[in-house]
Amino acid sequence: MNLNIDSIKEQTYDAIVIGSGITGGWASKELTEKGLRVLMLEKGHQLEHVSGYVNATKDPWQTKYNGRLTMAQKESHPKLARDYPYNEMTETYWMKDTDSLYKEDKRFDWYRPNIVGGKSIMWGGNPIG
Amino acid sequence: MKRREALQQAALMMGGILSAPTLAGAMGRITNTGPSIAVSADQESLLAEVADVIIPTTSTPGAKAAGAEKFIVRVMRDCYPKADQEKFYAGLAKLDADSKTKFGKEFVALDPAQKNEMVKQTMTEDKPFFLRMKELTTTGYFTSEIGATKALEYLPVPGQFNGCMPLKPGQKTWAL
Repeated sequence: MNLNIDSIKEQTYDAIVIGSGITGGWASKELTEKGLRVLMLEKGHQLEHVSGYVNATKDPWQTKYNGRLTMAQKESHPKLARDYPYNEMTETYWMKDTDSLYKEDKRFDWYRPNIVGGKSIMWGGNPIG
Repeated sequence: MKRREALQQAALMMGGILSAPTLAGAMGRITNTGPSIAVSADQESLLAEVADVIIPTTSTPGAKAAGAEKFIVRVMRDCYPKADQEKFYAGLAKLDADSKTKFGKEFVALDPAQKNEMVKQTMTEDKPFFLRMKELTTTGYFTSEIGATKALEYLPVPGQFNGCMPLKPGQKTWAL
């Protein structure tokens, strides 16, 4: 493929940051402030403040299982299902563990969100909703 | 070489990744996948009647009026493994069978005093079933619209923290 010089410049970065969470987001901030050209990649979706918290204002009888996880959810999120942050109300904030299952020798809880901003938006252990 | 590593390498060579339950199953542990039990309308009505003994209608509507049995069926179907569902519905069937043995009628045909007695009997004779039934009934009831708004005091957004508040007479417990 032949690219002209401007095109090459547009597609060349000094740093590529994977993930827009606390670490990635902050790294990108620091690097760009120092003058680097940074590409930050995030696979997650945008979580709009307020309008994105779809379950936060639901009455208890509007939920299906009052927060419980279904068997299907336990199967697709075997690691996350072991602890409280992943539940019926926070389903859309989290990545499916089975998309990228990791090996454990001893139990290791790796909470991986699927939103722009990662756990910096979700407050980590106490997600809104 | 450990079995798990061997399995994973085999899977990778085949171009796929084994899911955790499949891996667990292959390692000899019980898997939870499989279809849920189908529940009949009669079973649902029976659940409603038992729930209504646990939380009857008094000055506020009871569990049957609040539709607690729908919550119970839904949660059992989607949130519990098949073995747990089978145990639960077997316990329900036993309650019905015991009613016929003791009073000659099925549970739904008993009068309120007899129903109470049967449920009380279950508390000792089939404790696991009773405990699960009680838990699902109370959760289903107090998170239903009737239960949360009529039996309890419902404030959707509790808001500020008031450290000291006088209790008004007949003050109900807060729903949230």
